[in-house]
Amino acid sequence: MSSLVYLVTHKAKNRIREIFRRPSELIVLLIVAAFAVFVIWTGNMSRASETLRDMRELHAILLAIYLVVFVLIAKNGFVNGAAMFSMADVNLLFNAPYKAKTMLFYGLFSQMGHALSLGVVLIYQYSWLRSAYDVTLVKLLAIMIGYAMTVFLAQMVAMLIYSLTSGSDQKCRISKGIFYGIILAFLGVFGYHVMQGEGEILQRVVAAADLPIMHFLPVAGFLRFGVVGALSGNWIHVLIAVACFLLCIVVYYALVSLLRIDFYEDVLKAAEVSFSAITARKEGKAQELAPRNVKVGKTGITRGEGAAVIAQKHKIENRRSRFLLFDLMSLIFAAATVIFAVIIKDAVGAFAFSVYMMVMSVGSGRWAKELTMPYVYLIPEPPFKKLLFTIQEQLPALAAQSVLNFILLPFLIDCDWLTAVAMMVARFSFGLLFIGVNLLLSRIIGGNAGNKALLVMVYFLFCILASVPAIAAGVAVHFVYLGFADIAFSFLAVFAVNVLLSILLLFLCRNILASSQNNNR
Amino acid sequence: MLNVNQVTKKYGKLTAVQNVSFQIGNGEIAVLLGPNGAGKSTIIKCISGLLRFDGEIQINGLGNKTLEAKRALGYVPEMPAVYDMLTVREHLEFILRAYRMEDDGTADALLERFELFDKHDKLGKELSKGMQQKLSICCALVHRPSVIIFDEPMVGLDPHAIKQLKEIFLELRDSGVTVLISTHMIDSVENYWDKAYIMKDGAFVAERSASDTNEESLETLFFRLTESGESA
Repeated sequence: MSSLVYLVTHKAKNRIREIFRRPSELIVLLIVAAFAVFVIWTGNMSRASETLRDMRELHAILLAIYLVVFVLIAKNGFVNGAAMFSMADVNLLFNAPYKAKTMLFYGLFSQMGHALSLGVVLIYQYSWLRSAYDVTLVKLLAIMIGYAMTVFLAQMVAMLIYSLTSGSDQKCRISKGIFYGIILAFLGVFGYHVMQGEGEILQRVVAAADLPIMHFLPVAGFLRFGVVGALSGNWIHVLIAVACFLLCIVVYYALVSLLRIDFYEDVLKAAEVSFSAITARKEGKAQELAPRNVKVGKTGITRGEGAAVIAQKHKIENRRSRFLLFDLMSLIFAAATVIFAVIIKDAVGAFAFSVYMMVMSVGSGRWAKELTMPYVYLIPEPPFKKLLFTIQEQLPALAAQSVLNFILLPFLIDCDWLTAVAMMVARFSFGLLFIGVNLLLSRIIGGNAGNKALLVMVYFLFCILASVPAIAAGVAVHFVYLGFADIAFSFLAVFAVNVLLSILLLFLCRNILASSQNNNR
Repeated sequence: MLNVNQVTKKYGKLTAVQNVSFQIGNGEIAVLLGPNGAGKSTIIKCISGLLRFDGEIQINGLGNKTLEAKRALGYVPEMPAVYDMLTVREHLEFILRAYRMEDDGTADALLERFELFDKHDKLGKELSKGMQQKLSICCALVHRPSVIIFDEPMVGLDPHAIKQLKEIFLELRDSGVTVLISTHMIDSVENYWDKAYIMKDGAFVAERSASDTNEESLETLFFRLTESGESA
């Protein structure tokens, strides 16, 4: 047996064995599987709605998802390439007597498996896809494969970009210009057709996304073309897309061979970055998402004494990380909320979507990173005071992001300004609540949880439970004032209950910074 | 002065430190020796207030969780802890402000000694691991603590920094500071300890004072106790 086959099969075998050795992993797997079965079951039970939505909406959604995934992954090529190999691969296999091309195939094969596993998350969208667009399980599989192929090609493009541009700022700038130039050109065409189109905004967006020229969008365009072919039974379109996919791999392989790209050095950086991220996770540290070239700017903290200096430090760190009030993910989430609101034409639904998207992002603030460092525990100040200054940095961003999520709604859907403002403050209060839940969970479980996936599930469960009082208050207010009051009052009730609950959670965690073990770190 | 009295630390069913007691006076250097997994870092984290424990730990006669005790303590962690987005100089400013102290020139002096002065505008993320360790040491010293604990301080340091650190140990002792050093590099501390504690399986298996008249070197004693299973 080839040693690489041995490596791949034994890694897979040990991974499966590990699942059965660790009860927490098995529990997570069972919950994930049970939830997937539940979603499929409810999807099949509900069947398609009597009035199906326009299928072209789904086509537009697929184009948007594939494009965002492609751009987010491929752009890593301007920084550190693609994490196609692990550090163990670099240290053990690259030194071994293998041909570089064999290694490349091994990397691509490993990447394919990774990409497919990422596509599985789309199963959880089955229920609504079924009821809104009559997407069957087979059709969902086609969407998942399209997603996996997008991830795979995006990784390949990232690696190629890095191979061709690393070490030369000029080449990097030019490639960046070409990369974003192409994407922006397509977006320009898209925007132009949206502006010039007729009918409601949603119809214009859908029509623009369905233009034939959009099939030529790099990767996302032709893969969406193939997936839509699979959804509508047009197998010629599927074959064309598969041919394009294979052509990309052949072109990549040919480029690596012809240009004699020594990709070992090119993957090293990505492998190191990935390795340090894994090591940091194991050590309970949060990684800094820093830009490659940090503009240091004005130096010196200059303000704040005692616990207050923590907040001042966060301001400086955020400035250098280029995180002022929004990061890329928060902008994407805001855009997704607006698109979702336009599609469903319902303010309450858009609000629920926005809060759902916020659940994961709240825990990635700088305050959460601070808890992984020793200084915040060592500083001789009262723990509650330190806690308040530690979470302070999150509040302006939370407020600004809440405004951004809903400020466009009065222009786009049936939503008055009072409701939009009430939604902003209610979303802000959910942000506070989720910070409180994060702290409480750190207090109870913290860094000792053996399985991160299980921790995420417990976190979601806690978030749902913590949200119940505010939702109940909102519903109660709505029923009390039904018929003569605006839904805005419900959102204000949500705000009030969430703030009270957040204060309670903060109070319960007031000693979390007395010692790192209160946070189980 | 550091007083550790009957400290036990358990993680669930696992006892990491069992009933450990020792005392280090002002102007004394104590070394904590032991193989990997002996419990050295655990007891150090208990002293620094990072872990909960059973027993009593006093710093200058005050419970180690009190703000006064925290103010008097300096701690160099096993893994260098620096902020990616703060410059070298800002790290020290941050500590001084957090401890509500004025900079009396100690910060610059430390940066000079550890050859970090010309890198004062470099970000934490731009430093090599060795330089991060140096910065971590500077952060622990800059607020002029009266009790300072080092967890494997020599790891990753270049010869110049090791030499400087050894000189600093002696200077701290001369100025009456209580110093505790945890290490498994016995030869690095052979010449200047006043007290030595050897740990194994979460407990002390030997204590030795520099004034003890004993032919057996610390290294020989260490290997005899940790490899043969004997007790002192």
